[in-house]
Amino acid sequence: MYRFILSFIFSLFFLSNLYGAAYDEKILNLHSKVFPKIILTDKKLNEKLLDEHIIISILYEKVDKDKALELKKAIKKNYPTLNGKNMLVELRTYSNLDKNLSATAYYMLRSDKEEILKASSLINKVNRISFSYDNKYLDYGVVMSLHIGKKVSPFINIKALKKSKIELNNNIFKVAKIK
Amino acid sequence: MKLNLFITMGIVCSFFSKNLYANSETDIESFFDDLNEYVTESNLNIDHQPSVLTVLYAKDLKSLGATTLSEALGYVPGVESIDTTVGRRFLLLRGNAPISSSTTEKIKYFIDGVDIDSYYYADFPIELIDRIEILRGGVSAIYGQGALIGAVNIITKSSDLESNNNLNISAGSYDNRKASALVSQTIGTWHLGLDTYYQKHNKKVDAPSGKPISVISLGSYSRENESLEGMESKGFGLILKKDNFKFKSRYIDLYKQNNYGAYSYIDHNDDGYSTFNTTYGELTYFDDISKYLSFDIKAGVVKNTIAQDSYFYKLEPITVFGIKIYDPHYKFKYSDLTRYSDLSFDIKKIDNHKIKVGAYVGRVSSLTNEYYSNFDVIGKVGLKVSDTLYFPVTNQLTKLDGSQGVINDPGRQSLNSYYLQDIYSFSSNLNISFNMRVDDYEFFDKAESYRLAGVYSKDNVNIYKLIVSRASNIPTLTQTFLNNHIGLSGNRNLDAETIDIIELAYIYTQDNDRFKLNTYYSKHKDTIFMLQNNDQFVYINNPDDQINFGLELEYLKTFKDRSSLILNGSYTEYRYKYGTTEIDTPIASKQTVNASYVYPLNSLLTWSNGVRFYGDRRTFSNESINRVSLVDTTLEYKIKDDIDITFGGRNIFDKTYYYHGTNTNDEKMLREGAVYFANLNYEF
Repeated sequence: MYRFILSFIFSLFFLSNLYGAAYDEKILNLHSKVFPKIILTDKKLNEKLLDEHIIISILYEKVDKDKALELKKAIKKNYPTLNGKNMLVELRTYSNLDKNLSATAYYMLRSDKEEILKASSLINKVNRISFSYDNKYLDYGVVMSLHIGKKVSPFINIKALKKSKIELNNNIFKVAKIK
Repeated sequence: MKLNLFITMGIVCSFFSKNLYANSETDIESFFDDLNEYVTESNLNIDHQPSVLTVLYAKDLKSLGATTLSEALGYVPGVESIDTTVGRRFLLLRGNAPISSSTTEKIKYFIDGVDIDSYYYADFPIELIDRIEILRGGVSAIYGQGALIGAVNIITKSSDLESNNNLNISAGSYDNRKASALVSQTIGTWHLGLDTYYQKHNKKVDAPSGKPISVISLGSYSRENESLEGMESKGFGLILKKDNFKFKSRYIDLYKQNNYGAYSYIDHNDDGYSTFNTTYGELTYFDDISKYLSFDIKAGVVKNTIAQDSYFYKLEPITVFGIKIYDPHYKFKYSDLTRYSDLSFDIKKIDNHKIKVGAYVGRVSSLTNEYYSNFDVIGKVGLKVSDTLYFPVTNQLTKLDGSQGVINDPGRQSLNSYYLQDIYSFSSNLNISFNMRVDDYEFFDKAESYRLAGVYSKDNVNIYKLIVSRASNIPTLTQTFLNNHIGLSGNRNLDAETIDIIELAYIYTQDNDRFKLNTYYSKHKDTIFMLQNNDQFVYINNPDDQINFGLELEYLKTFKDRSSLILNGSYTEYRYKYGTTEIDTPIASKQTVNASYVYPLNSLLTWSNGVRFYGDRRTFSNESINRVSLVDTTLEYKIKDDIDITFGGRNIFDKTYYYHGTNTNDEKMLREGAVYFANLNYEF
């Protein structure tokens, strides 16, 4: 029995390296506090409101609907309003992204590389901030994420930022990690 | 570290109040400054901190089916939570084990940053907990003397400044019932956190190795070999915060039956009990003197009470020379009150140094010191048979207190401590921290603790830590002044015990893999323990050094289907030595493995399964307790966004397993088989 358990555990241990991805709820909760503040650093924020509302769009895959709902709940709990402005949080699957791109900014949960590339390209074209849970997605054209190391800092993809023609408040570059 | 926790609360308060919910123009720099404080103090960047710390989050624990603090702590590598005789619960940390049920734990416990000493409320409901921080190793330089081998911080949900309301009810095996309620609200400039709980069960376990009184030829007692393990616990907590003030208070009351008995024999009377009670209140004021200098001052009281009621033997009905002899019966109640104040200054930036200096001034006094018995040598109660033996000739108990109470009352003891912490950012890759603390207690020599730690990471993927520390533990009033009523005696010549530890840790964290490996080697000097000499036990300092070494492993893997594998394991050796007696790792398991797989079947239903493996153990009489693997399962169903229900079973294959139980026939305490529970949770 002892050997069986150990072999079972170690099989899982090695097999597990073949697969990918999920969420750390503590990090997701931290993102819910940071992301709305990041939106405020957009110099042209007022041009990106919809009926005077800040609209946050959370992009998700169906398997992550509960995480998207949790994030929405956390954002609304943390920020009933944002800088005096009303805020709406909408959920949208990656497959529905190309229909309407009028949100103020986009938060991207996990998805396949192709979906991330496609979504970030669309969002950059409409000059909106894209912010991803996984900072690896900066390699796929996402503009921002969060770096958590010895210090926590916004992680900015400077190439994507320029491409999307988003202008950020200068102060953010004092604390940001640049890719 | 308790100070750190108070500071933490201050930082968190100011962080949330000043920044997150403010509607003013954003100062992104100060936002991230505060965010960094928050992330560090709430241990979100735990891998980059100079400590071997494990943080358990209640949400994860719930998915794994943990319902109490003791079940939760079982998920920490190198930690076992065991029951033993007299209703006592212990944490075995890195193989350090209590030699008798009268031993005081060498771990410090905190609730929301308040030091409740070594009182381990193993049944504290997980539903009221936000997270548990477990620091292994010698940490008295951070947490204060007594945190010799580790410290446990329980952070409750009511201390969370975000709105957070909850109702919870549970039922399960052994008539287990539990209900808890929690309200955490911000109303204007006030934050109110309030929680309460009630829990009860009537556990009864077969006790083949228990000693019934029938083994004594004097009596005719023939009780079944059953261990009575029922418990009842209740409590409430209150947290108030306004501006720079914070008030925390809590009341916990625990009643337990005596399990395998109090003094070698299973209670023949069902009314036998042990009770534990903690009440505290603490007021904190914190403020910034300048951008780089802040202070924190607090004052508090903590009252801890322990009581017990039990019989020694079953003697009735016998007569000696025409005198009727009654069952020898005793009970006691002992409580102490600690009053304290603590002032610390936080200097945030001096050439990459972050410095904290502080002083603690306290007084501990015995508040209740009562012993009741119908036979007693010290009080000369009963029929004198010899200078060391009295027989009970009545069932009425005589009260003994003052110098004849539980302890030979020394009145009060002053406790003064001074501490320093310096966290130095040597480079962007290397952080060094240094802690030093001097504990100056009235009846003992000064105890010094220090801790030097370094964290190095070049790529944020591979992280290396080195920690060297000396921790100390000053004898308690009980260990020093305990009166020898029932064969347990204090010792006024005790010295502080110390432990020197060197630890190495490696962490790999990348995408969805997180791997941690800790190794440690320690030398435990002047260990305070109870030495048995015939039928007498006395606290002594062990003149022989105890060597302890081992490794701990933590692995977390998350998969594309959002399932996760949690794997913890440990190997430890604790070389117990006293004179010619040597035992390789008594009581604790040398190897432990805990593997759990949490699988979300869909967005509403999560199923988790786990295996807990405990390797061979040795009892203190060097008998063997065989290795065992226990399987647990939990099903969590989200009925609505705010309502979920959980069904779980622990040891579902009903495996036979044992804990060490001092004073049982062969020191093997049979534990319960399969247990099941259901839990309904409503958040609003």
